[in-house]
Amino acid sequence: MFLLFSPLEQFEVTSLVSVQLPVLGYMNFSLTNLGLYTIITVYLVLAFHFMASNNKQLIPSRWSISLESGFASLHSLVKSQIGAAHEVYLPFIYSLFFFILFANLNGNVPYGFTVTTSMIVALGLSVMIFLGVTILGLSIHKFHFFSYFVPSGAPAALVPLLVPIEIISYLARAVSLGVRLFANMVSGHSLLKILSGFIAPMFTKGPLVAVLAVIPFSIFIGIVALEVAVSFIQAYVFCILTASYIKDAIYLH
Amino acid sequence: MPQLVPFYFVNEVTFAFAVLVTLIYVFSKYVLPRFVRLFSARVFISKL
Repeated sequence: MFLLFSPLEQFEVTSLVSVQLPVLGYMNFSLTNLGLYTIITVYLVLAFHFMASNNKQLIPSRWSISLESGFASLHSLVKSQIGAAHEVYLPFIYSLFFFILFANLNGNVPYGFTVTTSMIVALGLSVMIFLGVTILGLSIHKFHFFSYFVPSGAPAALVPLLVPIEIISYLARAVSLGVRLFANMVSGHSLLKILSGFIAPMFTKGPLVAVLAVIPFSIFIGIVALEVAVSFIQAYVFCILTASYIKDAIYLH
Repeated sequence: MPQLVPFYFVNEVTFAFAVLVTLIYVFSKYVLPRFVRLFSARVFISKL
């Protein structure tokens, strides 16, 4: 009952349809609201790309200009971070950006569900990237990869102190990337829920209060716009850090 | 936290990864090559 009025209630993962199949010890396959919204996100991403495909015409439309500028900025990100010789990572970064962006923007629709507010999804992505980057580094540099944990030019006496610090900071990446995304989205959506819980009753408390409520409401609209901006910023930050981690694995500092 | 219900851990991660793999496949197979073709066509037109 407490959960019903909590600002965290909007993040609850609930089962919409579930099937109990007699495989692997009566496994439960369920379509949750998170699952539904991931499918909606994919649909929106692909629909946006279809809309912006512009029938393969050379002259761009408004939709394709927005998409081409997005592609150009992500392409320059990958090129500047990882290097022109490693554009093979562009599809991954591109997909990651559009998935997180549309998942975040989709969550700004009232009564919707934000996929990235799920800690498991955000941490799953960041741990996957961390493991992938570590495997990439090991496969490229073999045993030499561990020199990453010894900063170049450090005095020999400081090495026993620096190596644990470097290892901890390297391991912290796995968590920090996901927590940054998840915490930003959860805090933003909780704030909107709490503020709207205060403002909505003001419109029904008499004419004078309703007129005065326009002032906090206009601030609230500003915070909604901020939340939309955060959706873009977090998607971009996630991608820029992923590119930076891949760069570290390829070039080792 | 409601989203930490252990029962859905695998479900959530499976959905997220399935979606990401689908997107990477579609983008790298159909969308991104089209960008390259489009940009190279523009370069050819402007240089010729």
